[in-house]
Amino acid sequence: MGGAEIASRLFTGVTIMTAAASPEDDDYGSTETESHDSVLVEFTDAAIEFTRRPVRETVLRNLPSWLRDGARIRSSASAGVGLAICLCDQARLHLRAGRFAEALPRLLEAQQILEAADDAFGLVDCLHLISQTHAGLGDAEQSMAALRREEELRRQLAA
Amino acid sequence: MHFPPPVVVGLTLCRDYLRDQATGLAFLVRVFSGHAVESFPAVSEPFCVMALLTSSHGEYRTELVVTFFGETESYEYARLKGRVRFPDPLLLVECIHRLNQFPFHEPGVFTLLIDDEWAAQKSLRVYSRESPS
Repeated sequence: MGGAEIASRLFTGVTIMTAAASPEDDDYGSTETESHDSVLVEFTDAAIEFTRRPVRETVLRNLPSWLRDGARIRSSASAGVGLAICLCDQARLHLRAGRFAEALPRLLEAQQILEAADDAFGLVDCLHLISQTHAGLGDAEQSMAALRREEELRRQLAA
Repeated sequence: MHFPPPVVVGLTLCRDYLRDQATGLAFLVRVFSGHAVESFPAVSEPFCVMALLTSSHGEYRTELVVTFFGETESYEYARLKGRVRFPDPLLLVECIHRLNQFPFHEPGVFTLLIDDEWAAQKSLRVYSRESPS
């Protein structure tokens, strides 16, 4: 693609009006000769999610330096098992409503948090929910794997 | 052919976004950077977060993340996920996030992530009508 073609595609349908308009350009100032070639994508807040989470590293990295360090400290304080419990509660509601696909990412996130926090009791409950979710999604293999892991953990806790 | 991730030309907060069907022209109505509320917590008037993207090709995941940076605690408060397709790297893609009843506890920072990576951010100052700060 040559430079002229790129330029023509960049300005497709757009007439740039300049101050040095020709005498016959009597509609100077109107918008009739302009157009705006773009793709429009709209998202509504019907799908917005409000679970409180720690500030992500990628967001922290791009904060102004005077805000970054304080925000990092204050953010780490809000991370933890509480979020995992909240995610499991949300997943339970989704399961009751039969929305298995929405429950699964929450449970997997909760599982990661509980594993990192070494919370075996929480993890057992989470694995049970994961098993139910996979069963609901028709994935018997994954469901069984989660149940086996749950059983193994329960044996360890009982010993 | 490999294209780099999209370039964000702008991230704008405005009351409304209108598009004239006849000409295709776009209008941003009442662009703002501060928002007054009666008291906290508050539900805002409807507003839009408009991201203008370009220079890429293919499909990308987008996520608008709202973070509050408070005196004692900072946390990610809300997220709105979507998918955007770039048919042509020379075209502009306008992503309009319409937030009709957004609750505010404190001032926030709106961050746009593309494929889980930071792309742009915009801060919003929310203040009580009685004591603007």
